[in-house]
Amino acid sequence: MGEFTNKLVVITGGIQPNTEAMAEKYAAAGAKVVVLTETEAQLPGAVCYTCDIGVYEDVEKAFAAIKADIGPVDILIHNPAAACGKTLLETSYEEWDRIIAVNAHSLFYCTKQVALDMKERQTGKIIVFSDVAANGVVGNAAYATTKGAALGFTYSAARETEKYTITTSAVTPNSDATAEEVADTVLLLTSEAGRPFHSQAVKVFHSKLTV
Amino acid sequence: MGKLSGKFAVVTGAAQGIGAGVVKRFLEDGVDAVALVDLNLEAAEATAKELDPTGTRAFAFKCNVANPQDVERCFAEIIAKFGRVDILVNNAGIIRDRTIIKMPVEDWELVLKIDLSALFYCCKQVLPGMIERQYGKIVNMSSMGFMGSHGQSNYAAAKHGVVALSRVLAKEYAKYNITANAVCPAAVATDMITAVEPELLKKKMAAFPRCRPAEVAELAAVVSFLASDDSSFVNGERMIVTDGRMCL
Repeated sequence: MGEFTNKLVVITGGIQPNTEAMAEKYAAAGAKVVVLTETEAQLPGAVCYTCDIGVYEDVEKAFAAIKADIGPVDILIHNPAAACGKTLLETSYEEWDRIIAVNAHSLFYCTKQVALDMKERQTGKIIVFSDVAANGVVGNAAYATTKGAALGFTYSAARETEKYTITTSAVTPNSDATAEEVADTVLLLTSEAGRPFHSQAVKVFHSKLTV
Repeated sequence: MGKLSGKFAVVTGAAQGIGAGVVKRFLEDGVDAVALVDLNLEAAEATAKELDPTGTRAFAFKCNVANPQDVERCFAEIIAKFGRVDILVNNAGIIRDRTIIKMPVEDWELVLKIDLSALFYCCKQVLPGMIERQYGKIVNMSSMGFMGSHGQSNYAAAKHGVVALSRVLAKEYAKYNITANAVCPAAVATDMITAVEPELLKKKMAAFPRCRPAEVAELAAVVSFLASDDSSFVNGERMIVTDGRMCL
C-alpha cells in the first residue's frame, strides 16, 4: 500500500503531455485518475469525464458525477492551458474572455466543488499549473496573464485551506522541463513529503532563470 | 513646465480615492489634459471641478470598464477631444471578499472582469495610437493583495494577473517606446481605510514600519514617476509601495 493507493486524483485541462505523464504515474502508484476533457477522449490509466471547465454549470455537473461514481476527490490538479498565441493587440475580446474562463475561472469553479469535502475530511491536495510565461512573453498575452492569475489564486487558496490540513501549491514549468519531470514534481508535491511546499510556486526548469 | 507637460492622460476609477489622487498629482506635474473615467459620472465631474476649477484640463467621462463596447465608445470620445492618449492609468477596481467555499460565482467573475479584463479592454484602445507615435506610458494598479489573502482568491488572481499583464505589455511594446508597469500598494489612506474602526486599524498598521498606511499623495507620486520620462527604462516592474512592510 503506497500513499496514493485508492486516492482519487482529478486533473483538469484535457489530455496534454504533462497530464499523460501524471496519469500514468498516479495510476502506477495505485491512484484512481480522472481527467476532465472538453470532448470525449480516452487515456490509459484514467477515466475521462467530458466537461467544459470554462462553464460553471458544466463543472458542477462533472464533479457531482465524479463524486457519485467514484467518491470524494483527494487530489485536484488544475492544468488548463487555453491559448491563442497572439499579442495583446491581436487578441479579440472573445479570445480573451474564453482564455480567462478556461485558465482562470476554472480554478475557482473546480476548487469550489471539492473544497467543502476536503474541509470536512480535513485532507486534500490542490495543485495549480502556472507557467514561466507569467513573467511576460511576446505573443501569448492572454495565456501569460492567466498564468499570473493562477499564482494569485494559489496563494489565496493556500491561506484559506491550510487550517484544514489541505496543501495547495503551484508548479511553474518551463518548456525545457520534460513531461516526466513535471509529473514527478507534482507527485512529490501531492505526497506527504510535499507538505513543506504548501503555498509555494515550485519552478520546474533547467535554464538559469532566477525570477 | 512640469514633467508631464505636453501629455494627455487617462485615469480610470478617477472619481475618488487613489484615482483622484493620481489626477491631482498629474495636474500638479503639468499634464495638458486628463480624462477622469468612472462609472459614476457625477462624482467624476465633481472631482474634475474640484481639482481643476477652470475646467480646462480635467474632464469627466462615464464608462463601465467591464464592458468592452462601452470602453471603445468612451476612449473614442476621449481621443476625439484630446487628439491622443500618451498616458493610461488603469486604476478602476473592486473587491468582493469571501472564501472560495462561500463566494458566489458572480463575485468571482465580476472581480476578474473589472480588476483584470478591463485593463485589456482599455489597453487595446490606446496602444494603436501609442505605437503610431512611438510613445506611451501605461501604469496598472495592482496590489500587495497579489500575494494572496484569506477570502481574496478573486482579488489575488486578478491582481497577480495584472502583474503578468504588465510584463506582457512591457515585452510586447517596449520596441515602440511604450512602457508598462504595475504598482502594488498595501494599505492606502483612502475612505476605505479611514472607515475601519480606529483600534483595529492601529493593530493592522503595527505591521508597517511607520505604523501607518500610505498617503494617497505618496502613491500618486509613484504613479506620476512611472507615467513620466523619468522612468523611461523602468519596464514590466511590479513597484511595491509598502514602506518596507513587504520586501520581495
